[in-house]
Amino acid sequence: MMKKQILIVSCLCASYVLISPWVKELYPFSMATMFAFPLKRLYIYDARNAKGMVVGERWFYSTSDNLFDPPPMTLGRTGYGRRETNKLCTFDQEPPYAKKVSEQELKDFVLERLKEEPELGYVSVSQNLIEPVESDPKHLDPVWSKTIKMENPYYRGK
Amino acid sequence: MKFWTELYTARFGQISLWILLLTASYLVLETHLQYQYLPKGDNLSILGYLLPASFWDSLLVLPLGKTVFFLSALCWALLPVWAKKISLSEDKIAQIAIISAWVCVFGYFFVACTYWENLPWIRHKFVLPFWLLTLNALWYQFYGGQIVGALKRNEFLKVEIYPGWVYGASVFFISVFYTFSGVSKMMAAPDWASGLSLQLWTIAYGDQSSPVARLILEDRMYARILQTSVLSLESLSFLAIFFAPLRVLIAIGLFAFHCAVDMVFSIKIPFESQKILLLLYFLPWFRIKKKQTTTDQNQSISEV
Repeated sequence: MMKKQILIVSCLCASYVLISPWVKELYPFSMATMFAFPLKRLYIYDARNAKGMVVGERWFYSTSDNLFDPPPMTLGRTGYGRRETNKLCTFDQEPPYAKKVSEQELKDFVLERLKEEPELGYVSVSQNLIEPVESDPKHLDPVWSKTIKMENPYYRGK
Repeated sequence: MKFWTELYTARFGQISLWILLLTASYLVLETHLQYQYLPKGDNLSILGYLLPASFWDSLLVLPLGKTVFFLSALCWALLPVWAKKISLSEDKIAQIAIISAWVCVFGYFFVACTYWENLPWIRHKFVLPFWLLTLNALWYQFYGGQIVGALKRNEFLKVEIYPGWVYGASVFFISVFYTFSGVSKMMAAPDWASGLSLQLWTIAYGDQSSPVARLILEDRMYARILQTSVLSLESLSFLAIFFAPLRVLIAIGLFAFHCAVDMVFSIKIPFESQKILLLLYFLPWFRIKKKQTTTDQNQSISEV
């Protein structure tokens, strides 16, 4: 009786140890990959109105913890259970992981968001790159910044 | 391994089962379908491959799963109460207990699969309770008759009906889960613990008023020390399977790690369930009881 119990429990333990590394993430098997991909650089975005107030806090960043939880890339998969399609900051599969967004991509993206903000006449969007520099091995500061000013073509305010 | 094949009194087993059911209930309450409107992505669970993608678009799946889980969990948790009161035969009660245990495990599994299939991220904290519930269901599967018999005779806490493998395998799953977390970091990048990524995560999501966040951003060396400590601790967690005294140190270390993450990041990732499971299975509650039992036996022998 006890032998049978030990055999079944051992099979359960073995299945977890053997299947998890193969599938990485397939509930209930998991390699617990949270924080697994170390970023090498980071883009920070900021949008402000004419008065300098921050608008659209949730425009750029995915509500998901993409930077925390790398998407499963085994069994032909490239993402999660649901796909967020309207976010700018997505996850690169290779280092430095933070995807670079061109000025045109950024403009197109902001224009799409402005469609949903007809009360907003003007927006100033800044894009900052943070990555290590040899001259300062201790701290991180923006090494590159760009600001784009855009009128809202969908503006319906007074 | 000898420990796995021995039987113990059910006090720790029953209390840990109650705490586990409460922890699983807390997690089940946290699930939602807030992101179900987004297009379906990839399969994140075994059920994802077995059921059609359209199944996960239904609004009913989660409430249904939750109802099944809570009803069966209640039936399983309250067995020591109702088994004494109803007039069914011991075999029938044991059957109901075993069925409710397995329905509870499947209910939790179904809810967790539904949640993962409808999220644009992953929630790893749902993994461990499933395996631990499965081990407890196996305990009831093999010892259901004896458990019910002991309950009927009011001897539930006296007779040895809790097999060591339930506790041993629970420690195994928790240890391997954390070890895998360390291994996946090392496999992703050999320089994972360089301190740079922790500084970038802290800039992106850190609570700048937190003293730990300020320490990380002050000097990359501090970030490197923290990351190296976490990586070492997680990767070596498997040692808890073999060395009971180390288990306590590993639990304290991992508990402190979860608290530090809570303090650093402004995006709150509630790790309460992980903290509870660590404290429940890695602190020496079970050993204390065993020693007490041995002492009681010695006293009885000396009295005789």
